[in-house]
Amino acid sequence: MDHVASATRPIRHEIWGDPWRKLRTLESFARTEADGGRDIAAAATIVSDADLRQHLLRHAQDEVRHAEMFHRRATELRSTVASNPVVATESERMHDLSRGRPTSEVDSHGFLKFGLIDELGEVAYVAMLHVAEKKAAALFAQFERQTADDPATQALFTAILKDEKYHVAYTGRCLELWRKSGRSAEVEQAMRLAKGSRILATWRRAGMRAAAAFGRVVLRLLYFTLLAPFGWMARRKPLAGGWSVPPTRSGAMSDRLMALRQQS
Amino acid sequence: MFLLGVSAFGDSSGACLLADGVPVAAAMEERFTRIKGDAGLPLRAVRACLRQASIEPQQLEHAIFYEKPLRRFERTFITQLANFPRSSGPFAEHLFHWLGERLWLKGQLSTELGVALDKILFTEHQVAHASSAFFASGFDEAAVLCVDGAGEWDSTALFHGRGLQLDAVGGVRFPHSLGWLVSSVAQFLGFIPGTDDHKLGELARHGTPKFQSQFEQLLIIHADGSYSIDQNAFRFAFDVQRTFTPALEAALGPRRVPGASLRASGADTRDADIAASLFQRLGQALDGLLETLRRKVPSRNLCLAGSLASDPWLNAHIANHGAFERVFVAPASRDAGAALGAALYAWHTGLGKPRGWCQRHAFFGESIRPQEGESGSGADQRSKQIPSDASAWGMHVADRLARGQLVGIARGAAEFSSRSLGHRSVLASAADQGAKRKLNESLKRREDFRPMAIAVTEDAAQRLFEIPAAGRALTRYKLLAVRPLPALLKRAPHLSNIDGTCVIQCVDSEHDTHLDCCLRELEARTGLPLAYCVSLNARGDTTVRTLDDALRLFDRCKLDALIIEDRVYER
Repeated sequence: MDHVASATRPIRHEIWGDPWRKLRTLESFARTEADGGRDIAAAATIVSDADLRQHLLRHAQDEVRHAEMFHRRATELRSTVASNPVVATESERMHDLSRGRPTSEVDSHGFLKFGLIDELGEVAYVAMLHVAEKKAAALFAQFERQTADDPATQALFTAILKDEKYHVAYTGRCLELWRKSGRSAEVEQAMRLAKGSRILATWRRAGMRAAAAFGRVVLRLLYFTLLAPFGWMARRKPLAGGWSVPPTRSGAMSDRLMALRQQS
Repeated sequence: MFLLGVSAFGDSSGACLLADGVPVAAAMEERFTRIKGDAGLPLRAVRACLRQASIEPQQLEHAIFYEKPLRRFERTFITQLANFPRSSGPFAEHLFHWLGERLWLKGQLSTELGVALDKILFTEHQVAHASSAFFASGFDEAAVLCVDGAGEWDSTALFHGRGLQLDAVGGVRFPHSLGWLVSSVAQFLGFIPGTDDHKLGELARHGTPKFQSQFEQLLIIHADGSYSIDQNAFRFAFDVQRTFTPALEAALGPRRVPGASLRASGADTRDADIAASLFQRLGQALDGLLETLRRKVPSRNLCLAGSLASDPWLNAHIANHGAFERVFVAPASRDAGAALGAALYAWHTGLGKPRGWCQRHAFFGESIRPQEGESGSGADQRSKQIPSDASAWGMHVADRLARGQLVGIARGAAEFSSRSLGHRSVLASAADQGAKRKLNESLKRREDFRPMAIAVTEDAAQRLFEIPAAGRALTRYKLLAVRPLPALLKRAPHLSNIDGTCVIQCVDSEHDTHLDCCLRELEARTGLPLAYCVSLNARGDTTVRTLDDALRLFDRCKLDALIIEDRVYER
């Protein structure tokens, strides 16, 4: 996984150098942290250990606060960027450092979606959090260095990094306590599962990135080869303004909706 | 029977749930993701609607998406080809996006919503817009005008609404689009296209139409009432990231870089002049469309929909046009609101169910309460109980407003509207000359040229403002710019904007008794039943949705008090 992280480092540099991608990445972090906060708060209501519950509640509050901080910084940056595209494109979303949209196969911590506390139990959940927070701490430390030319964003990562270290520490302590209490095998298995899930998710994301880049090259080739004659033909007849012919009324409805009308 | 309307991938996204033809829940996705104008698939909004009605997805009779993806794809593909080879870059991005997600929308909706494939229906974009206005208007028959960015092909569409039917009588096809013209000029002036389009109408008040001749070339109005856009000056047909060409800069001068100072006051008002020229030309284009509509549809009623229908000054232009006696605009007239239209169209035109509901308010969202996983941040310890009865509640809030306080209000169901209407709002006494400045410094930090809407009781509105009879229904939703009458201006000259107009919200005592009582009590204390009413958010944020959102905003802004239902938080 470290090799994958090293390989993607230039992409991360590129993100902090591009104002819009920086903005989108911060917005994406805000969503991830907010979703994470909700997940963890929900987990806190399930765990049996009172100490762990307190830690999870604090962790959930931290995540929500981080979401707010990322969101605020993104809002500040939005008013200063020099160009203003409307939305992130699909391929740009895949270069985001987190999952982007909840419809993807990866959950808010970068794991495949099966890692839910009610399915796996609290040991696996805490192991998952531990691995994710450790990774996040390493990543944020790297971002802290890479954003040296933007003191406000750097300060944001510095502040969040402190919390991430606490999250790593309490989850690690909890796992250690379980190990000592005779649940060592369970903890080891949970850690293996957590790391495996993360590697698979990273692999999938890398695959998506590669596919996106390849797809764009292929589409551009198609554009200049197969579609070129049609393009030249289409250019000969510009899309005219003025009134268009009104569509037939059935055009407004799908066939299914038409069928419903006939039935009713 | 439950029907779910869904809209996405336009300028915003939303969901609306009908129970036997009556909206019982509606929400915009941006309130959940906190990304302004979020146009992603509104899964959170859908879940909220289902939660509000306490139903499971399996109980939905149908889910209706507000446009036809294949026809939209056809339009995208053809307009890209027609711009060969300039469209080579955007082509790959567009196709990637379509092949990756949007073409498979039916399956995605089915999977994500948990609804069987055969229950997912599609209607047309402009039909959904038109339905959101016509079926909500209460008119038995009406002329319907949709002025929008783009649908499948039509960017402007004219309909004749009769009973359960909407018949198309004309349209103008993309890339000739008034909505996109506004977005492109917004981008030219350094704003975010789509999200900031509404600011152009506000900026236009500060300028004079010195660029009228240039806009006559850019927006060509034909003798038959239709129009064309000069495609040499714009690129939005194939590139939504950079929407104009150097030809626009040749016509209007250099673009304004975002963040650069805006030329809207003093000796140099060039940016405001461009906006004013655009809006004057838009007014002329609307006149042409209205004349055509009046010729084709023998009705005295008009329903307006689409992105341009949310501009209070264009609406005032239409209300004063004289062609129609009554005008209705849905409070959520942009794409998020078309979710309601899609559902209403399926209910009335698709299923043939009779009409009975007409829109009297916009409060279809969730009530404010701690969401799952939220702490409420020790809310009860920080707050004090106040009376919940409307009259006493109104007295309490009016007392604070009369003392010059800025009061945040989060009460009842959230608005399904692009504007806050008193349920997620910040109020300040409009009798106080410094209130607007205080609101801006403490919370909103809006650009200087932007006005603030004023809430007023319905009966006082009649005696204080000059409201065109045709546009009376629009004043409920901050959709009409009106002029204060001389008596009010003499008393409070600071109320009108630079052009002598105000955007008002007439508060309906039946559907918002609390705010109505508050304004009446405010009149007893200050002599004016008027309060500035702006959305409960800080600059760049979306309106607050949850208790935690509201408390965080309160903690970081200088509101004097925050009233959540019947509890007050103070500094």
